[in-house]
Amino acid sequence: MTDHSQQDQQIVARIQMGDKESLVELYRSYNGMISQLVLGMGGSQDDVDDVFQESLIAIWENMRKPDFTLSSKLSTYLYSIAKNQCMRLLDKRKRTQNEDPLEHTRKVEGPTPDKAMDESLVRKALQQLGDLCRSILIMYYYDGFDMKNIAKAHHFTNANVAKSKKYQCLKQLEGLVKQKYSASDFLR
Amino acid sequence: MMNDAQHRQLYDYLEGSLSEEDRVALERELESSEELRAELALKKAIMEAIQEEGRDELRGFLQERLFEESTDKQTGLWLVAAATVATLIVSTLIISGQFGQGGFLKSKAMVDSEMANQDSDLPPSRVKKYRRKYEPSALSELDSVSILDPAAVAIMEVPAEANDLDIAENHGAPDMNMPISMADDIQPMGYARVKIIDLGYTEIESERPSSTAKRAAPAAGRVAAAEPSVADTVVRSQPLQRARSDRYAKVEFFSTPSSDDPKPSAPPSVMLIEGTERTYHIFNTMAENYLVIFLNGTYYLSMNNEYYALPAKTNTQKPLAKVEDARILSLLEQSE
Repeated sequence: MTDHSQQDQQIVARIQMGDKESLVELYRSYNGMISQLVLGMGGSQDDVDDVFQESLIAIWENMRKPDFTLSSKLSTYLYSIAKNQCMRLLDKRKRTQNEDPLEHTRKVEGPTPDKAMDESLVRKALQQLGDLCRSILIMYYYDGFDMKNIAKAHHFTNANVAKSKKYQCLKQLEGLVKQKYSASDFLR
Repeated sequence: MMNDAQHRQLYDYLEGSLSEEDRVALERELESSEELRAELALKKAIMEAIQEEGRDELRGFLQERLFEESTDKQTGLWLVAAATVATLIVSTLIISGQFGQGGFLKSKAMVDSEMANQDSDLPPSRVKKYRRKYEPSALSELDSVSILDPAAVAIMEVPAEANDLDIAENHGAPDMNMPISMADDIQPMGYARVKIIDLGYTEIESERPSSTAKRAAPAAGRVAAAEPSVADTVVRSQPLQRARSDRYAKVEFFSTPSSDDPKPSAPPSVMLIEGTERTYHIFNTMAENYLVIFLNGTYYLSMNNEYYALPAKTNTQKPLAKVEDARILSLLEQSE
């Protein structure tokens, strides 16, 4: 195994262990490659940052899945993700520029207003939760940590305590949401 | 009324951790119970919001760390460049053998010249300043600007003819449900691509003003979609991030490239947004004595007789760096 591929494997392993700093190492290692890609595709220097950032997020989310295996070189994998991100960004920009401006008054893209509103109000409630609860919920539902690791990170005695705390946090969050809305408001 | 076990079961169902038998039974129950379906919808919204929050937290982490990386890199490059210049000067002295009295004087002149050239890395021709003209009387909130934390500053670029506050109102404000303190006679104008990079409480994630925006802020009055003159406006807001500051949100505004002018050289402007969860006030720092100076690729904010470097990507976690380098200070002072 070459030094480079060893380094790649280490980065993957660190991401799988939940080490976000390893994403910064990916940035250091492959900044030149991504810059060249994005600029070559007609993007700007700002686009390089945006594409890299969104690619790192995609990599994090993919690699945090329990069944993830890296079947190519890390650089190839990153390159293909960045290429897709860049194409998406540039396509979106092109569409926006070519669009009939009046279309803006007629259609809405992205999440439906209802969905956006649901998410927004839940997120407001989430911001009112204590840091511990936020951290547990994000670690579990976004970062994909298991209860054992969450327990370890928060110095709980065991995974069951973490699980029970997670449920308490969800209950607390629901309580905050229900202060203003009923569950049936989400039924659309 | 649902009990704890039922609530837990719904979460387990959404997480895919129910046994096949329990899953089938629950799905059957869901068909007949609206209450259960409503609870499931709420829990699903909660899980999605947590995921989105996590994604934004990671995005915030990356923005901060990658910004540090690029700053470090630039600093590193500057040091390398400075070292190279110094080496060249010394080498030139050695090679030319000018160590005598006259030689030394000549060399000193040369060194001075080199130093001057170093300064001219920032030639006056590249020093641009932008001062936007507004009637301070129309902006009564401006008095408060000076007490704002410079950390809340964001870069905003708009076409010269555009009106910052209107752009803010027609894009940021409705999205943020933000009452704007501004004069009534400011007309809406178009063409700004708005990139909201870190808003704590924005409700919209769509490409352009949505019906939610209208619903959220009827008081704002002038929603882009309702105004033909702003129908050309393109709004791009990124998904929200948790506010790192309780009081401030930050916004980056860029002018929209058009077919006539793919890279508009719009002057930048600066806005400060102060707010609480539901109320924001926008202060336009360009209205009175605040000035943004573009110098050697960096925007500097002149405020209260101090200069602050505005990073390309703002970061509310850190205060803006006050400029202390005498050489840059001198150039900034000259450019005012």
